[in-house]
Amino acid sequence: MTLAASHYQVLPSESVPGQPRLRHLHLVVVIAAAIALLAVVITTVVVQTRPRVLVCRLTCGPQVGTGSLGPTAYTSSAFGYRVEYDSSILTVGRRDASGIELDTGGSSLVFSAREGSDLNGAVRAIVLGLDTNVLQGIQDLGIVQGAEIGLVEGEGSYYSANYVPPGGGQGYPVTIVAMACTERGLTITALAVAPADQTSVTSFPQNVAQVFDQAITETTWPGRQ
Amino acid sequence: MTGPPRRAVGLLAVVALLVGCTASATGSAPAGSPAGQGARLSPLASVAERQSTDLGPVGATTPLTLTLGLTLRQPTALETLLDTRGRVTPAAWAAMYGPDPAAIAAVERILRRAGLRSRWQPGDAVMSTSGPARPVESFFRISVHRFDWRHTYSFYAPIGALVVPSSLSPTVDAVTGATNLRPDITAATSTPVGLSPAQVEALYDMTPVRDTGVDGSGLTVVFPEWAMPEEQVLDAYAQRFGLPPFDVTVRTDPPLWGQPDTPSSPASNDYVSQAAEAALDLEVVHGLAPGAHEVVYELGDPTRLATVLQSIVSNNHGSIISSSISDLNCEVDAGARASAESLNAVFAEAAAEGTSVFWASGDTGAYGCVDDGDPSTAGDVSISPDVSSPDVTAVGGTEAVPNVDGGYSQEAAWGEPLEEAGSGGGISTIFPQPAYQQTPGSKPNSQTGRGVPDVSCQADVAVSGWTVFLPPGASTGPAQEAPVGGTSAAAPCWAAITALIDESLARQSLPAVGFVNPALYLFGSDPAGLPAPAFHQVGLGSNLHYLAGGNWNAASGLGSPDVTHLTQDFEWYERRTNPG
Repeated sequence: MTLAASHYQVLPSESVPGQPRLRHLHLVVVIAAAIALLAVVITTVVVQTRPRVLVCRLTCGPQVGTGSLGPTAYTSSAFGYRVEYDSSILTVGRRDASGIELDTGGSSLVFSAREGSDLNGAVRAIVLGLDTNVLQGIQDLGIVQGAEIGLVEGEGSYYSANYVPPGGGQGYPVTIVAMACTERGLTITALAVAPADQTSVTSFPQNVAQVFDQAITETTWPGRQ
Repeated sequence: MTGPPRRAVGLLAVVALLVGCTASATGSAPAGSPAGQGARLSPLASVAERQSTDLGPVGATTPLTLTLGLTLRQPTALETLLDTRGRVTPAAWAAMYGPDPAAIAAVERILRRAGLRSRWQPGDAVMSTSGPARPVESFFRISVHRFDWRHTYSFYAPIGALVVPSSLSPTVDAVTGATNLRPDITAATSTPVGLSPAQVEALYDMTPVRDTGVDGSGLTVVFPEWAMPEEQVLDAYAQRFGLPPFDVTVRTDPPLWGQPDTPSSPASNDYVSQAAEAALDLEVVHGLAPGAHEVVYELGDPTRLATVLQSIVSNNHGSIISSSISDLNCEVDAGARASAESLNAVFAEAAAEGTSVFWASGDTGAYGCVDDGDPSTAGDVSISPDVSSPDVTAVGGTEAVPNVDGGYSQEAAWGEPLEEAGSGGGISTIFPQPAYQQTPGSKPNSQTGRGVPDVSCQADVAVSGWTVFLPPGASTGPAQEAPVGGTSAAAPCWAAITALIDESLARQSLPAVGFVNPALYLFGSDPAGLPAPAFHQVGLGSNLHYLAGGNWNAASGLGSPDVTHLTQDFEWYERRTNPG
């Protein structure tokens, strides 16, 4: 097989006075090829020396991570829903018949379920279940736009709090997300907690949000495929 | 980089949620208040005042450039032309619909007397004007300041809104620019599992078309980009998927369009991000239409975007344009109307001259203001002014799920609540509903504004992103293979599909599809005689606000393509509209 080898033609704009349409003139192609070659040489030199640290400026490009292994599934024996998650990134903190806790670094995502369809009550129950000795000063930050679990729409809220380690030590701010969605008399809830990230619009760190969103999206409700 | 310590939150000790979730819901949630709402300022002033440090006025001789949106002639006749998918030559465009040359000459004289240079060619819907800061500030009655954002990024921007000086009205109907605050790109994030070109072909039923030998040959896809990846990145992609080498031409004009990012740029990290966007665009098109020629217009100055777009349109008649650049504004921001109207005039010329334009609808769902840095509009439901033009095809995103054979299974509107990411979409508050969106069955009659997006394509990053190769530095190691999503992938997806359809039509001596919206909405209404359903209608999910469902929705538009059906439909359409 012939290996691909791409070479750009780097050409000035068509609007530059005195520049004819370039595709028809060999001379210009030769000049462009020379420019391209020079650009490649310069680029190669520069690439060897540039820094590799990514810092997001005011607006950011793609957040690119590495690929990972395939998903692992948890199925709730009590309620029948299934959560697929990336076991190369998320570790299981705890699981039982009704739900599972998935952890990554300093962040956690907890799925659970309950009978009924009271979304607001389910969200409030999540927050009321938090240990206020450890998560102190919980403040409502507003709603989660487009809250959904497994493509079923629901409700959710963001909260801020200060995490105080149970065994002592330096506390730090965290962002909490509580969501609840209901279908056919079953309500599934998702609680996410992560160190607050002030560079994020929601204060929830984007890299963690991406991983958690995957599991939240990949939740399958009972009776669905 | 600083931040909280990376340690386990110890959630189980804190929450006991697996038990707590079954407790009865009584009492109330903790008290609190949303983030403060400030007075609505112009978006750039808000960025400056709320997030950046004002370093004071720019130097008196700092070169500034503004873009003037120009009034087109015969707007009613032009609207009729576009609604009926009529086409004109560039010369006819300049003579009939483009700005009045006599009026432009008068504008140029006024600008010259003010010490400003101008640049315009007959037919152009926009004009650029530039000069030292003080004459620019004096003529346009603005004050331009330099700002620092968190000691990592500096930019200049006008204080307050730009308005058209009365001396230029009515020939000039919009003014934008005087800032080098760069609009964001819409590329999104990585995902654990990516789709190969062959998998996307199977997913969207392209294989029968490709099996006829159609690969986009003879077609040109044009992209505006901020930076280019090195050739080795594209080579890695081509080799990985057994594709021919890329056929790419790069157009640059640093004096007019600004200096593009390079690996040696002061903020080289921007180069990595922007070159990754270009790599994604080029690779998606090459993966699906490897015979297509690709042309990149590389710019470095965000104030020149409309100028560059004008150059693309003027010099690539009948081509296919794909853009994943997003306007920094949302429609409800001050200044957005001027930006929208300037771009819309250029898009109208493209449509009239038979050029297809696909524009990514954005990656923040229905909340187009989220990433523009203006907290006063951050929670507003709004779309970007670039995609709201009725003369551009806005491409939204979906989460596509292949079946076990790789074919189409189901699709949901793209929305990721924790990331606040999703398919850009909503109802324009600037442009009214175009005639093609009033096709019965294509859209709810109750809406009065232009609906966005028109169509969609796979953009999800949680389940099934696109496998591409990105520049080193965006991840680890050289030419990193990574799955990427976002509507940045969806726009070139449709550009590539259009190249395949255009080549199929050319083989039958039928004209290229050109501005596709009137035909797409006709297909969406399932008219009598239509060979096959053109779209996979999307009935699940949301874009964080608008739910999917129905023939059209503001999360996924008409849906994603069945390319074989779509090709048959366009053949039927072209034979019907061009008998003999």
